[in-house]
Amino acid sequence: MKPIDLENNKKIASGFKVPDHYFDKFEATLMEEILKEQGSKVVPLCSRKKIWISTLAAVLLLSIGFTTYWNNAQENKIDAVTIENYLAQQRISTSELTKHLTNDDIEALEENLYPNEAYLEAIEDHLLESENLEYHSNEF
Amino acid sequence: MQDEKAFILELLNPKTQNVAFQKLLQLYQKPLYYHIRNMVLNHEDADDVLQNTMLKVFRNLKNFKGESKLYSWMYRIATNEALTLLQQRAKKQGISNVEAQQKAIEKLESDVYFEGTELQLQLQKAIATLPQKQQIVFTMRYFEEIKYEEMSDILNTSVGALKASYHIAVKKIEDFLKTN
Repeated sequence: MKPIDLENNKKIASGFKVPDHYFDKFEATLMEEILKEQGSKVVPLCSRKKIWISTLAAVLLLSIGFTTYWNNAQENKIDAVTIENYLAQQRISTSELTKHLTNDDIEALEENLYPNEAYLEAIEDHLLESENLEYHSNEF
Repeated sequence: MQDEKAFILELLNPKTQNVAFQKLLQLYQKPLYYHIRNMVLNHEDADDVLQNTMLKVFRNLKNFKGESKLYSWMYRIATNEALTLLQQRAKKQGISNVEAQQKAIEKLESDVYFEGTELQLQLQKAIATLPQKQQIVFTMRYFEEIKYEEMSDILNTSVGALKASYHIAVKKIEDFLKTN
């Protein structure tokens, strides 16, 4: 056999082959892979727009909701005079009223409603001096 | 290739990136595939390594500083990826790199993606007897016809050392073919 001279003889090919259309398929697969990677990393501009619009809508809805709630809450506040008038117009028995009072409330009421001793003495003196004692005594 | 700086800018610009990368792929997928195939020998592994290489290129484009040519940078990534696969393959089988290479050569005879003439098979067997660096230098010069200057940039080795390495490899291969 004639000795092989690699540098001067005709070049020997490596002998490696690839499947049919390998490079076309490789290119398509790799570009698909790259698009997938880009999709998971980059948020497209249209999506960013959507996020902004959603945020704005949420803020708007929240502020409308809060304002409505606040106004309703203000309207529902009933002042003491209205309650007093309402109660005065209703036929509510004492027992019904006391159901809503605590022991402390009742004691405080008793103290305010029943005159103290000094006050009673003053009334007694006034009555003794009064000419219409009989009339006043009937009133009690 | 067109002005490399302008092309790199296209690769980095999100608006032109995909088109530019497809162009890069069309230009280099074939030479890079054969560069990898010469190292790993079988098609399936070459396909995996090429895919990893191109994905790595895409992911690291923003870190490419332009100190070397884009072409050299891609070849460097491909070489490193192929070497990593060879090491992993040997480790997996619990054998040395040389033994793993011999096993891969034995499998070549039944590989459907190998042309399989006696001379080609003998040449592959001869290459497999060389130290790894000499194998890379020989295949890059003999099969891929890469210039020494470019090879120097890719392998970070002086032109003189590469020339010496190639000539030693040629001598060894010729001796192997003479005796086998």
